[in-house]
Amino acid sequence: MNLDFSIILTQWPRFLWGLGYDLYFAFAGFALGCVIGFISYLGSASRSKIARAVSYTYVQIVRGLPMYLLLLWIYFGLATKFGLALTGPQAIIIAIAIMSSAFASEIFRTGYNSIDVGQIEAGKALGLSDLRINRTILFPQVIRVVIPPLLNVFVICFKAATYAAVVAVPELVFTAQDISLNQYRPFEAYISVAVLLIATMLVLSLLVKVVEDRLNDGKGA
Amino acid sequence: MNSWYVVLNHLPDMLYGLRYTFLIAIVSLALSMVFGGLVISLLRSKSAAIRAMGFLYIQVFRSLSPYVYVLLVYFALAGATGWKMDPITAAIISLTLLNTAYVAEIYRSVLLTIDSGQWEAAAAMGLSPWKTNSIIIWPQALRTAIPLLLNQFIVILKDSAIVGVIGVKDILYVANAQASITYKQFEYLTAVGVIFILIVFVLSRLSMSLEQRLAWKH
Repeated sequence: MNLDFSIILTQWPRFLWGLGYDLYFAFAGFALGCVIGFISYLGSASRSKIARAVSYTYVQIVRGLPMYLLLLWIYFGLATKFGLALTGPQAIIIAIAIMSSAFASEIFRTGYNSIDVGQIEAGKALGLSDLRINRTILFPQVIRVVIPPLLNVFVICFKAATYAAVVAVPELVFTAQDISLNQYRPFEAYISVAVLLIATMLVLSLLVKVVEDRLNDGKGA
Repeated sequence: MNSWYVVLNHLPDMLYGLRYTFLIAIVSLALSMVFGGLVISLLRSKSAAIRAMGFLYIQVFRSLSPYVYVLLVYFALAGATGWKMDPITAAIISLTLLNTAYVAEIYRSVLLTIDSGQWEAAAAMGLSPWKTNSIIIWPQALRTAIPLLLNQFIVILKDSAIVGVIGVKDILYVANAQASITYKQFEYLTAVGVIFILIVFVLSRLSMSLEQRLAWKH
């Protein structure tokens, strides 16, 4: 076997664009997922039984779906049944958002549970409204607790972004498939993409570690 | 309503495809439990170089999605070595490589829950390292690990949905093939989704009750 990485090197802008696409999908999906996850958490913590049931069912459904199936359902399923033809990028961002919202919902729940009930009682004793208690007392503390686990969810989103190749978006894995089909260099193409993805993941997990350490420092002081 | 009858007709075929899903998930988990033990023994080695190897393995193999691994093993590895592997073997190899890293992490976390006094007591009784591990440490560690391993099994089961891209005729592959003939993607994919949701729900309930039953009572 003779390896020839020169084809990969001549195509480097495509790889860079591909990586850019993956990061963009991960970021957009993650941001949207945090919003949906927070709404789902609010439902699960609500006084209304119906809201709790809806939120519980939503989380169970999302947890049970494989990412690949979710993406196919959004991209092909909605188009064939309702004529809702989403573009590849839209489909992958929505799929990542839905997948990560289940994680985010659970993370918000543990975050809020970690706060002493006495603080809510103290807020009530001061005559603050529920919204005010949430905004000025609980949320600033919760956000510190939830940031490290949410960043781990972002890392999961980045891994999931490679599924976009399934719906023909020219991100990294799709680029590798294209080069392997057109230049007959599957090994070089896939290995290069894997190395790029692993390197990006290492940088991302180092960033997560740095943020985690800084948040812990603040707590100690 | 008619369109759902078509799906119902193919339901036996789709459920039959589930056997690949389970076969791949069970074999991958079993192999990962063995290789995970190897990786954890690297991590617990006295030599810093060997520990670094274990750490590197976990870092590298946790970094990619199962999709990338399946492609890498089936197309890249097969192309490079000339080994004509069948899709099921490729799927098992890739999911094993990936999940070995996760299972090693599970082992690491459960070993942390075991009091260091246990090792000291074993050493005081003059037990060899092999005996210490096989009769004292691992029976306790595995008991704590069972619910976590079951959760990992759920993850593998869901991840294995991707093996259709290399031609394993699993449930999703069968449904996709039928859907593209009839243009009823919505119905077929929804049916597969419902089946996955049910399986995952039952298994995670099982894992939760196991967790309670196997918890150490203090």
